[in-house]
This record gives sequence, C-alpha cells and structure tokens, in this order.
Amino acid sequence: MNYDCLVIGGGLAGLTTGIRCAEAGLNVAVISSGESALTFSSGEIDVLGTDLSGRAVQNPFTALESLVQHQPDHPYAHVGTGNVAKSLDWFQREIAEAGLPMVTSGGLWDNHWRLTAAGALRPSWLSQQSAGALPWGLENIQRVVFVSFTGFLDFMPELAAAGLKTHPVFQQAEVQSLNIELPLEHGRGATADTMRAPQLARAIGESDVELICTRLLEQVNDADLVALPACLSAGRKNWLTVLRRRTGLRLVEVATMPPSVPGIRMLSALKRRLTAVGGFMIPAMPVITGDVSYGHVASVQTPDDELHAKQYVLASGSFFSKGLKSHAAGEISEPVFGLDIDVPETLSGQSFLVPEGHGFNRAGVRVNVQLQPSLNGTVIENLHVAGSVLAGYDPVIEGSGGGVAISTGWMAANEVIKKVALP
Amino acid sequence: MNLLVATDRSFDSCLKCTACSSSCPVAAVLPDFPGPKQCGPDGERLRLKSRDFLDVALKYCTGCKRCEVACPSDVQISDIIAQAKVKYGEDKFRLREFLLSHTDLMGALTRGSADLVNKLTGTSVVKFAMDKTLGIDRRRQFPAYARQSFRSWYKQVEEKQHIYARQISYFHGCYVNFNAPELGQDLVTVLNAMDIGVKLLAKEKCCGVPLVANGFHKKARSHAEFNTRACHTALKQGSECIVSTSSSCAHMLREDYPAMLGQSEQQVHEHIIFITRFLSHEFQLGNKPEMKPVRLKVGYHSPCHLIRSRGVLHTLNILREIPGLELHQLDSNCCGIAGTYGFKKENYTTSQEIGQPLFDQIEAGEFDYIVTDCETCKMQIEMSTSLQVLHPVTLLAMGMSRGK
Repeated sequence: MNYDCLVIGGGLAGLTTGIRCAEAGLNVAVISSGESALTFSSGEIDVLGTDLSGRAVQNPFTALESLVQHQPDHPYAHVGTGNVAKSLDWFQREIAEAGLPMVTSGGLWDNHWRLTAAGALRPSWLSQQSAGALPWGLENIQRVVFVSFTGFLDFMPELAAAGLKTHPVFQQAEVQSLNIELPLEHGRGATADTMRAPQLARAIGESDVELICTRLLEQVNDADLVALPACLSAGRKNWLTVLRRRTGLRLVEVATMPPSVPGIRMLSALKRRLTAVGGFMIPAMPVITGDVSYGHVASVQTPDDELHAKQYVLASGSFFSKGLKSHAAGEISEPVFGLDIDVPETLSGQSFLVPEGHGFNRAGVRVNVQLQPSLNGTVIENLHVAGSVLAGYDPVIEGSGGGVAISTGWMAANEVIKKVALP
Repeated sequence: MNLLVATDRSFDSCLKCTACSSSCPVAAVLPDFPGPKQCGPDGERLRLKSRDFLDVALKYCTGCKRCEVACPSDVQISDIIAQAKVKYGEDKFRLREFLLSHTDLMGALTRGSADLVNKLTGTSVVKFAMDKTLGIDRRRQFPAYARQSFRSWYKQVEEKQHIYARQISYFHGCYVNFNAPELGQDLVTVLNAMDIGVKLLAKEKCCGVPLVANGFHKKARSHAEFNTRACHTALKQGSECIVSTSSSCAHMLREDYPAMLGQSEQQVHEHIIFITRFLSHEFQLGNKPEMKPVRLKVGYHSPCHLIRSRGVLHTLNILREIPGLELHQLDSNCCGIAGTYGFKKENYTTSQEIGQPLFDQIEAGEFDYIVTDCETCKMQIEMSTSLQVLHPVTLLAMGMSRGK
C-alpha cells in the first residue's frame, strides 16, 4: 500500500515524473484534481521560442546556454542544458510508445514554426504529425489558405488570414480564407455553430470529407499551404490523412479555441503510457495540505484521507490549476505546503500585451539545484517540484512551457529514483 | 444534491473554460448535445429568466459527474442539470421510469419467483414487448434475480457475528439483496477473517440513486430519511461505521444525503463509507486477511461515481495487496450505462458508443477478469464484452479461499 512516490498533479510535468518513476520500477501514483491544462493547449512541445533579446530562436538547445548564464535561477539552469536535451529526447520516445509519434523539423535540434488560430507563427520544437511542422526558412510558401466550416465558432479563417498577413514573410504572399458548408453526416441535425472541436470531429463523415476534397481541389489546388481547424484527425477515421492523400495538398491542422483536440490527444496518450508502464492515475483527488516537519514530508491530506509515501513530487501547476494562489493584497502563495516562493517586485505590466511579460508569470516555488523546495528556509529533503508551479521563468514570453514541464518532471523523477534506491 | 432547497448559485463561478466539455462522455459521441457548460451553468442563467429556455438536450445528460470532476471552479454542473430537469421539466408519471427506478419494490415482487422472472426477461418475446410498450431497449440484458435474497441468507450467519469484538453495519443495497447475494457473502467472509462482525440495518430502502435519476425526488428524500434513521440506530447500537459495496449507493448516502436533508445528520453520513476505503485503512493498520497468490491478470475499471467520491485510490490500494495479482488500470472512460439511462430505448446507441473505447481496451488486454466497484458498470461490461466482471471484495475472497 505504501508508495515509493506520490506525484501531486496530473499535467505534463506530473505525468512525465510518473512515467519515468514507473519505468524505473517504483510504486508511483499520480494524484490529480480537475482537468489538466493540456486540454487547452496546442498539443505541441515548445522548448525555447524567444531569446533574451526578444528574437525567435532557431536552435533552442544552443540558446539555452546563454539563457541559463543570465538567469541562474531559471528552471533550465537547475536541470542543466545537457539534461534538458536528454529529457526531451526521452519524451519523444515515450510519446511515440504511447501511440502518438511526434516530429521535429529537418534538423533534430532545431525549432520549426507552428500556426496559431490567430494566424501567428510560433517557434516550436516537437509537433504532432497533424500540425505539420513548418520549416524554419518558410521557403516556398507563397499562397496560404485558411479553411473552416461554416458556422464553427472556434476557428475563424478570416481572422487567421489577417493575422498571418501581418507577418513580415507573408506580406507579399497571397493569404486567403475559405468557408465550406458541411452537411455533417453524423451531426444528428445539429449545426457546426453549436459544436466544439471534438464534437465537430465526431460529426464529420465520408460525405463531408468528399465535399471538402472537392472544394479544395476546385478552389485552392494551387495553394502551398492549407490550414484547417484541428478536428479532422480525431474523428471516426483520421480524415486528415485521407484528405492529404486525395488532394496532394500540404494540409496542416491548427489547434482551435479550447477544448483542443491535439491537447486532449496528448493528455490521453500520456495517461495511457503511465498505466501501461505500471503507474496509477488517481483522478479527482485534491491534496489540501501536507504535514512537514524538520524538512521532511510525513504525509499529505486529501479531503478524506491521509496519504503516505517515501517521496513526493509537487507538479500542481500555475494559478489556473491552483498550484499557486493569488490573494487580494497582491500576495502569492503555494497552497498545499505553504512553500517559500519567489515573487518579482512588479506583478503586472502596464498593458495586456507587454513584450517583457508580466511578473506574476515568473512567480512560483523557489527550489535548489535538486529541485527541492524549502519551508521557512529549511530544505525539504523528500519533496521535489516540477512544472509551472516553479519560479524563475515566463512560459508565455519565452515559449518554454512544455520544455520546462518535461525537463523538470524528468529530473524530479531522477532525484526520486536515486533516493528510493538508497538503502 | 440540494434538489428541494435553495437554488444552486455555483453557476456564477463558471469562467467558461470548457474543461467540463472536454471530459463529457455524452458530448464526445452526441454532436447534438451542447455539453455540460451550456446545459449547466450557461443554461441555468437563461432558465432563471424563463422556463421557455429549457433545452430538451438536458435529457441526454447521464449524471456521470465527470464535468464536476473537471471543473476548476467547483461548479456543481451535474447537480444543476439534474435540478433543472425537475424544476422545469414535465411533471408526468411514466410507467417505464417507475419500473426502472423502484429497484427495491421490483426485487421484493420477484421474491419466490426468481427463476421464472429471469427466464421471462431473457426471452425475446418479453424483451420485444418491453421495448414496444415501455421503451426499454430489447438489446439490453437484465440482471438476473437470485433465488434467495442476501438478507434471507444472512440469517444463517447472524448469530456468529456476535463473537467479534468489532462490529460494523453493511448497507447491502437492492443489487446485493436481490441480484448478487454472493457479493454480500464474500464481504462477510472477508470482514470475519479480519475479526470484524457484520450487522445489517434493521431495515433498509433503496438508496435513491435510480429514483433521483428518474424524477422521483420526494420518494428519494423519504428513502434518505428512512435510511439515515436506520444508520443512526446502527451507530448507537455499537457499529463503528456503515459500509457499502456499491460505489453509487455509497456516493448517494455519504455525499448526496447531507445536501438533501441538510447538515443536521452530518454525524451519521460521515460514518457511511465505501468498502474499499474502509479496507484500505484497515490494511494499512496491518489488519489484513491472509491470502495466497491468485495468479490472475485483471483490468481495473473505475466507475464515474467512485471517481467523483474520491475512491479510486482506495480500490487500487486493496487490489495491490492481493499477492500474485497482475493489475492493470484501464483508461478512465465511462462505460456508458449510467444506471438506468442505458436501459432506455432512446439511449441505447449513445450508451454503447460511450462505452466503446472501454470495451475495445478490455478485449485487447488479454485479461482473465475485469474488476470494478459498480453493479451497473458490471452489467454493461459483461453484456458488451466477452469478459466476466468481479467486485474487488470478491477478488479478495478468492485470494482467501485459495489460501484455505
């Protein structure tokens, strides 16, 4: 009944820790509460998209070196740049084992571009095949068409087209939008305007795909790139593959407003991998407090029970996931253990979109190089921290959320494995 | 679920994030179901203005509560939908809903004629007739009734229970009493081996889950009052707690009764515990029956209501204590039956489509058995796959009998 390791949090970081611990033969349970933020995500892994000067990063693993030199408290600095690369390489193999092969662009260690629903291009390192990694040079893309299905509210092709048009590379390019009205073979009479992406995926049938195929060939057969909302690769069949084959066009899927099909797909794959390697996934179990004395976690409390393990990993997420809590007085706390935290002097910028980012995104749990936190200055030896509850980085501005979650989750697992192996 | 008290205002906390919609098993297969966000918090805002805004799609909600598990803001989505069905829905008596929901009455009526009833409900003529006249889908298998009820069997062992210093009471529920007395017998075996005597409540009524699901709320409340009084008496007479082997009964008794009846009986409701949580605590304290290796490969399916009542960890904990057991946790997917929901003709296809990913995983897993805590999940999985489904307590009892 006793666990070697309890992981608090079932998102990208927590699942990474859980999978690695389980593979090492540890008794591990990942305790989660609510829905992971992965269901809102693009389902891509960004390692580092923007460097300190605000420029897009082509080789994230090289750029990391300079980042960690300037920011010694960055989670990547604790993990070490070599380990970041090792952990991501490991992750790519794991997710493929889980049945979701993901790809990098031409060079193994280079970023590529991914499209967003607003028509922006973001540097990304690992992509699902449906998203179709765009090469760094963006060569030979002169005509782009954003396609959606009439009435569907969570992906606006006009908006995306206008967004891409503002990109320096695409100012001379032809960027268009196209709406196709679908009969929705399996829609049971409902129309696309009442559906979210996963439902639209389910409603699409053979006759819809034929219609999409015909319209694409008639109207955009000379396009270099056709972007569709991410709802074709998750239906009764992988219609995206069918369409790619039938049209011969370069078709990519773009994550829609949440719920996001590729995000949900990644979450399901990781959970499946965890249980396949012998870990346990415990849903709906909030951890309320932890009992810490003399730098040691003795137990954690859920609403009904006290749980015990040799080692604990806190991967409870950021504000939205309740891993961090903000209070009226501008204070920020970590609600489970009340760990020591780092909070920047200025919490927010003057406007919504500020190039340097908002301070609150850098707030979080302070840790040492082994990812151990402290409570009132005393290091807690059997607790490690991973993912977006950590202080010292801004996932939004850096484009580093996925990489930090995976590398810190991986490293926390390594620390746990070492300690459990000790006599 | 405060169906008869003040309006639930938790919908005000909804921040429209759609986490609930991502996790809704019905929305995943029914494109014309707008999903929990729209049926629950969004719709409630409109319904408060006028009942004309009642969406017929509410009837597709199975009440699985996965939306409530997903919600980051503690909106009681499933309860809001259940309340809306009562408050704004048609108040009309329906025979089918009556028959499906009065599980204790049906069980009592079949007493002494179980063989006949089982034969009849298994015939295509009766299935056809129930399909046409009542709207109970003919493809559905009915649970068989047992020849001897659990309560009647229990009389043989009642005397022996007094030899144990520790006593707990067992809320067996309709299913164990009328359909699966062997599960109750397994529980007595396991607890006796742990030096704990098992008492029954003087009398018990259906917990009320099917009554609430089918609109019989006043009756559910009167059952809640009756059962709470019975539990109260049992505790006064020296039972440490009341355990249930049904994850849905336990959820109702522990989590929903306080909302239905107010907090006055909180002391009683707190002492009602799902069996695996009780066993998990005992095992941890070292009180564990002796077992020999079982050498079986099993897949564990977690029922929706057990997830909602935070019970999955406890079941996994006790299964992990069975020596030799090769345990695999199945993906957390709803089986689709949702109590009486899947018995209704109009829901049959939805129910089976929801369950398909689970059925596929079960068939592909080369398991000896499937293990789950819920009786309707068991019915659904046994009907829809080639595997037999065991309750965790039955598996413990199997481990013990091999030890003899």
